[in-house]
Amino acid sequence: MDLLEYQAKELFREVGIPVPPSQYINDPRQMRQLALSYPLVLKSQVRAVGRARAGGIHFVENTIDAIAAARAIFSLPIRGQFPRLLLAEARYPVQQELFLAVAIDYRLQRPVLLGAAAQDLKGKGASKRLKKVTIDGDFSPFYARRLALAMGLQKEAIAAVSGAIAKMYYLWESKDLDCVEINPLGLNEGGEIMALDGKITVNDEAIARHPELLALAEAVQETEEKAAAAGSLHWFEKGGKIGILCNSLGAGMVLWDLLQQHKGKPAGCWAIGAATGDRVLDPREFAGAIATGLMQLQENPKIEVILIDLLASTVFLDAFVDRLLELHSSNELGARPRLVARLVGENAASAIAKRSRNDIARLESLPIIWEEDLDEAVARAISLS
Amino acid sequence: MIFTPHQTVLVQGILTPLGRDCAERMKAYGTNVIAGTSAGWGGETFQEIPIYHLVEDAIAASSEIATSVICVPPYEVLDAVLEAIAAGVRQLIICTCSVPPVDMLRAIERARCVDALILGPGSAGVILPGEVLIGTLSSSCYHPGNVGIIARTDNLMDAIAWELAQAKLGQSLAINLGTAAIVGSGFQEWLPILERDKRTEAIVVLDLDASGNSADLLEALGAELQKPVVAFIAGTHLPYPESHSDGAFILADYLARSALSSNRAEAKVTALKKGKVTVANRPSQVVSCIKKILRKKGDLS
Repeated sequence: MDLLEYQAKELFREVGIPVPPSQYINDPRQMRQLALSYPLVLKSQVRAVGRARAGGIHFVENTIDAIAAARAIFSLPIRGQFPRLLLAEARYPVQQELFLAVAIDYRLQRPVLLGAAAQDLKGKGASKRLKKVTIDGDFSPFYARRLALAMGLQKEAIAAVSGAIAKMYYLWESKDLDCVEINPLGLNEGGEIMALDGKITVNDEAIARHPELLALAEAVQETEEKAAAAGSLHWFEKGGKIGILCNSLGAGMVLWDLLQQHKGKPAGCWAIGAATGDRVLDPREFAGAIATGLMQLQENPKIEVILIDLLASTVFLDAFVDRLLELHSSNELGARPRLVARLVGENAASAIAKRSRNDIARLESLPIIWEEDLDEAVARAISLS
Repeated sequence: MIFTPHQTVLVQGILTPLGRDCAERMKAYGTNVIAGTSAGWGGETFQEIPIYHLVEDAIAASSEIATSVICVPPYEVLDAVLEAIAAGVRQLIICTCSVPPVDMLRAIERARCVDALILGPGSAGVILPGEVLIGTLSSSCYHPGNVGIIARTDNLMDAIAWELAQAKLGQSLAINLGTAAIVGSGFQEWLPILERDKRTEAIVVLDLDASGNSADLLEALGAELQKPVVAFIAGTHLPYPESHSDGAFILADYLARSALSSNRAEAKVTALKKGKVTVANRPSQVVSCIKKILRKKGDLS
C-alpha cells in the first residue's frame, strides 16, 4: 500500500532526509494564515499517479492565486480520488534533479539501490539507464557511495546523496517497506539536497507490526476486515455474465482462462482460502465462507450463471452441501443466477455419492446443475449465460 | 532435499491451527513426526507427539531431525528459521504464508551461509505418494506413480494431481513451492532433483501468472533437460489494471512488484513454447500430454 506524499515526507523528516518547509491545508481559507513565504507549490494528496498531468499541482506567487488554486485542487478528482488534504510547500531552487530508490529485487532475492539523473529517465529504455547497486548481506554506507559514483555525482554531492540513500535504506529496513522512492531529489549548487517528492510503499504483509504506519495509512479497519474475511472477489469485469466461486485462487485462474478460451464472459471470481498466515478453516467456516461468496455473486444483477468448483475433502464438501440445503429451505437460492457446481474431493467421486437416498432426493431439489468434469462444467456455464 | 519414508520430522508451532492440521495430516499418512515445539507447552503431547519448548530440546531428546516444518504465525517465521538452523536442522519447509519479504531475505541469507534448504513460505510441502507426506497437501489426491510435479501454486496442485489420478496417472514426487514473491527454493533447485529421481519419467510444472518473476522457471527449463516436461500456467487471460506510466515511478515498481505486464503469463507461455517443453492450456490437456508422453515411452499401454 502506498503512503501519501506528505506521509512519506514525515518519515523522511524523522530519519533526517531534508524536505521543504510545508503546511497541511484542509480548507482553501487556510491559505490566508500561512507561515510560509511565496512562491509556493500546492500539491493534491492522492495516491493516484499522474498528479501533475491531471492538474493536481499548482505553482502560486501570492495569496489570491493560492486560494483559487487550492479550491481547484480540492474539487478535482484524480483517477476518481478527491484529496482530503493539500500540501503547501516552499519552492526550492535546484540545479539538478535525481531519482533514488531502495527496493527488493525479487529475482536476485536481495535489496537494491537504484538511482539516475531525472532527465535520463524520460522516454523509452529508461530502466536501462537506471544505475543499480545490489546489497549483499548487511548494508554499509559504501554501497550508497558506489551508487552515487555510478550516477556520475561529484564533490559535495557524493556525500550528501549517499547520506540520503543510507537513510532511505534505514527506513526501508526498519519499517519493512516494499519500496522507498525519492523522485525528484533536488540538488543545488552548494551540493545540498532536498526531497521534493517521494513515495513509500508499505508491505501489506508486514504493516500489522508497524502501528505507526497503520495509523498513517488510516488502514486499520481495512486491514482488519481483510484478515477476518476468509474469501474475496478478484478480477472484476463489468461486462461479465459468469461468476466463479472456488476454494483456491489458482483454480479460479484456471476457470477464468477456460471461460475466456471458449468465449465465455467471466464477471469475477470469489476465491476462499487465499493467503491467511497460519489460519486454517474448519468445515463450518469453509461452508460459511463459500456461502458468503455465493450471496455476494448473486447480488450482482449482471451475473447470469455462477460456476462453483470446489476441491476439498468430504467433510468440507458435506458441510457446504448442508449449507446449500439450508439456504434453499430459507429461499435464499434464487432462480437466477443459475448455478452450475462441480464438487470433487478426497475419498469419493463426489460428496453427493456418499449421501443417503433421502438426502439425494433433497439434493436433486436444489436448483443446481451438477457436473463432474471441469471442461463440461465450463461448457455448461457458458451455454446457460 | 532428501526425503525418505522414515525420516524424522519436527513441527515448529505444533499448537497453532496450521501446526495441528499439518501434524494430523502427516501422522495420518504415517510420516515419522517425532516432535513438535511450542514454548510454554513443553512436556505435553499432541496426538501422541511429544512437545518441547525449544528446537534444541527436541533434538536433545531425539538425536536428529531431518526436516522441520514451520507452522508458526507469519511474524515468528524468521525466528523459527534461525532457531532451527542454530539447532542444526538443514531442511526447512515453511507452511505459513504472508511472511514479510524482509524477513524472508534474512532467512534465505542465513540458510545460504550454512547450506540449508528452505521450501516456502506458504508451501503445502512435499509428498512421495504412498511413502511420506511432509506438509499440508491433500494426500488422497496423490497416488504412487512416475509423474513428478513442481508447482508454484496454491492447492491448484492438488486439483491437477486429482485430474491425473482420474486417468490413473500417479506421482513419483510432488513439490509445492508456495506462491510468495520471495521463496527459499524454486524451479532451479527442484527440477534437477526430479531429473535425478529414478522413478520420475515425466515432469509437470505448474505456475500462476501472479507468482513472482518467471525468469527462474524459464532458466530452469532452458537447461538441458533429459526428461519430458509439460508446463501449465494458469491466469493467462486475467484482466490487468492499466499500467501506470508516470515516468520514473514505474521503475522502482518494476523491481518491487511481481506481476507487471512484462511478466505476463502469455509471455511466459511463448517463451516456454520455444523450448522443448509441451505447454498445456487446461488441466485436461496436462493429463492428455502426460498420457501421450508415457505411451511413447512404453510405460502406458
